[in-house]
Amino acid sequence: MPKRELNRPDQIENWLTTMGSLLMEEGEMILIGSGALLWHAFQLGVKRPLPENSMDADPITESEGVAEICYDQMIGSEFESQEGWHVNLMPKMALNEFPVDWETRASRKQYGKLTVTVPGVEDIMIPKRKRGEPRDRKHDDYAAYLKSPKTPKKPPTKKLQK
Amino acid sequence: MTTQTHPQIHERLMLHDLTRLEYGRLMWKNPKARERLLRHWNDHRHPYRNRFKIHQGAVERILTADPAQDDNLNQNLIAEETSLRAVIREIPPVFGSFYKDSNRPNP
Repeated sequence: MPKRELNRPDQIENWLTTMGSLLMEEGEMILIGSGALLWHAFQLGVKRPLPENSMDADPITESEGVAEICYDQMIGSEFESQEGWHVNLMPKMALNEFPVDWETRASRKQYGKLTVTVPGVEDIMIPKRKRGEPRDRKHDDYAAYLKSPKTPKKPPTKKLQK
Repeated sequence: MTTQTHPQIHERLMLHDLTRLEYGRLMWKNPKARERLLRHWNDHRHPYRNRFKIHQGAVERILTADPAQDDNLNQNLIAEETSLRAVIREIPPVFGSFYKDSNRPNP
């Protein structure tokens, strides 16, 4: 298996674009973890890779179609052997690590039939800061960089409408 | 999907247990996905195959249960000298290396 792993913002964007094209009906996903940081990076036009590679993307979904695709992209899958990283479905309870009002800071983007919601960078970092492992601290530096990247670009996303 | 209140038992489960329960239930709703899971879990390469045969009834019971009633379900299972957590552990994992083969009938 190639040791590519997940560290470039365009990897997440391409994955979501492909997933949106594979869906036969409307589906939704909340993206958390390192993949969510990379999502924000791409929307900001940041090309800098994540300082410590990630092995997986962490989606949460209630859509059968999205879950089915994710099952085909889990550890040991053909997807992983091709891409170098895998998909790790997370339970809804993982959202409890965020403040109750996380949705007011979240962003949303449409990829074909797939609606992706991504918590704000500060919220994404809460569980990472709590864990505080060396890679989490490096990701914290990356999160700080996303606040003032050298090549900012207006994100093509919109804040969630309550 | 929003942050919401959960049955109390969910607070005491590990995230990976909840993942197996939540997504097992989601897939179980769809007849095609359910058949695929059953083919995978009964695949001769699946190391939990024989264990699943023993616990299939209990696994199907929790996969078809109403998530909002999981506290009651757990109490009932405890009265039967098991628990929701113990049965969740009997939901076989999915192995990406040969899950793709479960799209067609087992040889």
